[in-house]
Amino acid sequence: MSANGFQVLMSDLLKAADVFQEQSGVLSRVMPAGGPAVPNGGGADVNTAMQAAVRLLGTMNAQLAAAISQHATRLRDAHAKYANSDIDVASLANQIINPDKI
Amino acid sequence: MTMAPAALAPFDYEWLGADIRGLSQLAGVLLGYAPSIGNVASTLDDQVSGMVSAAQWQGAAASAFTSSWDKDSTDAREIASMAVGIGQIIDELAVTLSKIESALEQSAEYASRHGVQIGPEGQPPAQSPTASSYATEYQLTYTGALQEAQTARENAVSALVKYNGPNHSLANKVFGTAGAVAAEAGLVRFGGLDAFMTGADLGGAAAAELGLDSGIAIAAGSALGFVAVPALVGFAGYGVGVFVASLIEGKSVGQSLDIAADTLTDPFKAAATGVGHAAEHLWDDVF
Repeated sequence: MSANGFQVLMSDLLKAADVFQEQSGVLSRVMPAGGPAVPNGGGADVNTAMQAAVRLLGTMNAQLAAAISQHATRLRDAHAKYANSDIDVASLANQIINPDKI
Repeated sequence: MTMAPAALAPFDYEWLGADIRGLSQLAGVLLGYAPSIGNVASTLDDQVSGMVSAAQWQGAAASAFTSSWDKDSTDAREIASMAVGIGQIIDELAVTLSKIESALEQSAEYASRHGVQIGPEGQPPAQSPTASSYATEYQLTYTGALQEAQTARENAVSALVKYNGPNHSLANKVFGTAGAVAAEAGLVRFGGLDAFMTGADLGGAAAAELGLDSGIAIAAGSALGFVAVPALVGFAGYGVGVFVASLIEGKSVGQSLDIAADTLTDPFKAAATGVGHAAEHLWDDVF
């Protein structure tokens, strides 16, 4: 479809949304949100540093997974808005062709 | 391609007090994350690329989406790089400690063959004027090994600093400048990364203050609004897990903040709820 400066194949939007949602799940399973377990490095300082680093890594990975899930939602929202636009245009065309039915 | 941790020197005990094989395994786990994260980014890059070219998705929404995904794709590769960086530091620590442990155990075995009593943790016998030259030599070796191990740990700590907390450039990027500044304020005030990352003890008051002073600014000012919010929630530590879990379950930012806020003390609860509702509206005009 093409109207008002946008052009899109509706099925591709939904397909992309599914892929984004699926990959969000893949990413969230890559590592725990708190990062992997840290073994004893033999000192409190090094244990704290390792723990903080892997925890940050886990948090950022979880946030990225959440962001990708949000992209899936946005793609579905875009699909819904384009679909509504299609219905509106069809309705308008119908009214022009059949003014008696307005 | 998956990177593997380097081979360790042979050893039988843990006289240096470190779980060296565990460290090497952790390094392997971290090095293994990179290709997994890279695969996700590549799959989605291909998806977006195909959609805007073959399917010819064009217009303002397409541009906004592509631009937004490009940033996240870059972040994904930086997170993969971060995993490799942390993994390499821990791998180097494991290898270095294994070499020190191995050399210490060989020295102990040599000294033992010459009548030196070695303690269960590799300790030399108590020093005495009548100690043999072998005992004296092992005493020096043991003390030196402990010092070398400590130096290796300190080197690892220094190297890990760039991956710790809001000073890390990627954290700055993901959390946004305002988020990083607020996080630094939290660190200064409460003295440590744990304040930022777990914050269990400081809980409500800190997060509430930061939330009221900076939270809405973080949320409104960041191009990644909903990513900045968990950074704020991160000040209360526990809440971030609840928040992220709720997001992953498909709940909205506002719903997730409400759920996370319910797990927190009253002052933070109010701030988190307010920020969540403000942040949710950031997405109103995306398309």
